[in-house]
Amino acid sequence: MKNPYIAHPAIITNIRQETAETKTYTLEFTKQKRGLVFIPGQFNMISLLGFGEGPFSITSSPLRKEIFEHTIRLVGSLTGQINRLNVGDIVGIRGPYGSGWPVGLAKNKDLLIIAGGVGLAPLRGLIDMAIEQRNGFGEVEIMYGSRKPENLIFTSDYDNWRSAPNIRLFLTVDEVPKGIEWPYGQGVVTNLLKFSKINPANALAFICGPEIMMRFIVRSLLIREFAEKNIFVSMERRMECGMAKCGRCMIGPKYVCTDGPVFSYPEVKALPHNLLAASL
Amino acid sequence: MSVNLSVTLAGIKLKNPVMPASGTFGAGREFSEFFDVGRLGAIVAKTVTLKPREGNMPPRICETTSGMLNSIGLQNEGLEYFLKHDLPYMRKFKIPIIVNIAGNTLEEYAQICRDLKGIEGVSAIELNISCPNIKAGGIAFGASSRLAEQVTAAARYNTDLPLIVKLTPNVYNISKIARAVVSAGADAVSLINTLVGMSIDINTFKPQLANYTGGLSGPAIKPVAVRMVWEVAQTVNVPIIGIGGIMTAEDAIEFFLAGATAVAIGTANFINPTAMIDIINGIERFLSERGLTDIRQLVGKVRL
Ligand SMILES: Cc1cc2nc3c(=O)[nH]c(=O)nc-3n(C[C@H](O)[C@H](O)[C@H](O)COP(=O)(O)OP(=O)(O)OC[C@H]3O[C@@H](n4cnc5c(N)ncnc54)[C@H](O)[C@@H]3O)c2cc1C
Ligand SMILES: Cc1cc2nc3c(=O)[nH]c(=O)nc-3n(C[C@H](O)[C@H](O)[C@H](O)COP(=O)(O)O)c2cc1C
Ligand code: FES
Repeated sequence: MKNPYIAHPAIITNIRQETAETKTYTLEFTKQKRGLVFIPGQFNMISLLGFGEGPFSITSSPLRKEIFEHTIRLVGSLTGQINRLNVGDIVGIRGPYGSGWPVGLAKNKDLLIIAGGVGLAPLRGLIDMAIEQRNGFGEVEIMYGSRKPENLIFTSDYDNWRSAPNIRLFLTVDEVPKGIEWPYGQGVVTNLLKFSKINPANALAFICGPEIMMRFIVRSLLIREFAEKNIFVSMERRMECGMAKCGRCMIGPKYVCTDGPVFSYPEVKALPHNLLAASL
Repeated sequence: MSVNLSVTLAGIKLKNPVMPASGTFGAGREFSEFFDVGRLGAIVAKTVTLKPREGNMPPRICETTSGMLNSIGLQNEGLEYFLKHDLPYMRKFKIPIIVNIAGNTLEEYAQICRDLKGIEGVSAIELNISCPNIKAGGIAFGASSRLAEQVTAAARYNTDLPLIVKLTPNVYNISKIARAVVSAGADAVSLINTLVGMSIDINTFKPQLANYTGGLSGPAIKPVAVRMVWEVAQTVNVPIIGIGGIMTAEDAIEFFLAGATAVAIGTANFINPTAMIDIINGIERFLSERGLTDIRQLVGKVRL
């Protein structure tokens, strides 16, 4: 039997600076000829020998088979080491893991995508997929917020998104530094929902961001008559094994690594601790 | 058999799909002697800017084969005057009022949108994005999808009114611009504005316009406009106001078939002051002669 803990080496073929702390890495397996088969929203465990391992969403389109991408923000020791890597360096990859966004359910539906900060990372592959298979999905609305304009990720993708038919992209930041021209919104992401035109009856909502943001978004979506079952969130917990073995990531009876990280709102509601409790 | 000419455009209900094109109707004063302006689907005001603008030097108008060139240069008295003098006059007609605005910076567009907040009688804002962006080195907002997207955003985040973006035909790929403005939250698009042109007097060897170049309008531009409306209709799913060289109901019908939900009439108003009324009547006749009951039965129905 193959050891599921074995990481496969992948080489960094490109690095793109997204923000001061965040970079997108393009990766290719060095041995396996086949690429990575995954659903957007799934993650890989990325390891650096001697520095540990952590979960990171796959941020490229699942339709791009030969390469895959990760977008990683520098927050601590592992991500600090990853941040020092160069093109040509090797990392270990285990995965893909987790539930991913329900792309099957999303077929022919309108998509309302709401993200905060690096929370856009697990959604980028879904957006790219919806753009590449434009006829397979309805309208796509993206509502994205960050602290400042300089903290927005994937800015080099926006022109491409905007030039696809029936995509609407709304941006907001908490704060606009002096001297920056910012024609978009200022305030919390929830403010952007007023621009939504899609009919909740034929739409799915996909959300990823800080839990406090997700709580307010869910609440607003329920007021806008989104059915609970049509709301999906991606949750983040610290992980070790990524395969429902170690229990590190558990919320009540659920494993974020295998039952999630993408959960439907009714699933989250059933969890203890009143996560995302959206009392109306 | 009664015919339904009413349409919904960016959430505004119009009793018929015919309105003046911005800049060719003033506030309607000159036209109210010729017909009941209240019969129009909507009234579209001449472009208003934050501060008064003098416009270009005369001569600013010249006739061309099947069309005209103008280089008025967005002459207007500014927003304050507009709100005090023109808007109250237009309100009397009791039809939706679309306020057309322009600026030289994103902030000017944003500011006008904020100033229009809560003003009685304003049904929608139309962005004229044919003017130059000072910060971007004077290239027109409407000539680049990125600038067009940004100027739409500047308005979108500063108004809750329906937002119409008026596209310029002086671009290589108008569909790309249309998608960009829709991606930023435009509720409808109107097209086309005038095509940049030039005319030279062969006796004096001088350009006919003091500004050398101007905007071409009238029947000469209609096939270009129909083609662009048709192209844009394939790529965005917001309603389209078709504009360009419409002189008769038959011209208007072409635009509906190409995918326009409504039409705006410009140059024709200078030639025949009752052109818009004739066009409304003509559309009604066209439909009933064919046993059609609703204008929407024409929209986008070109057979390919
Ligand atoms: C399913 C999933 C997908 C993820 N996808 C991405 C991604 O695409 N891009 C990305 O940049 N990050 C992603 N993360 C988060 C990422 O795994 C952690 O930021 C990373 O493991 C931190 O490692 P570190 O050793 O650098 O930080 P550490 O040195 O361990 O910690 C540094 C600081 O960050 C805090 N921290 C670290 N991890 C977490 C966490 N998971 N939750 C809350 N606080 C934490 C610590 O408390 C500490 O304050 C994802 C997490 C999960 C569970
Ligand atoms: C004299 C004149 C003035 C115009 N002024 C404006 C204006 O202020 N704002 C604007 O958006 N378009 C303006 N236009 C463009 C028209 O609204 C319209 O888009 C164009 O003339 C094409 O339509 P037509 O062929 O029916 O005239 C003007 C056109 C003319 C002929
Ligand atoms: S990470 Fe080990 S059980 Fe989920």
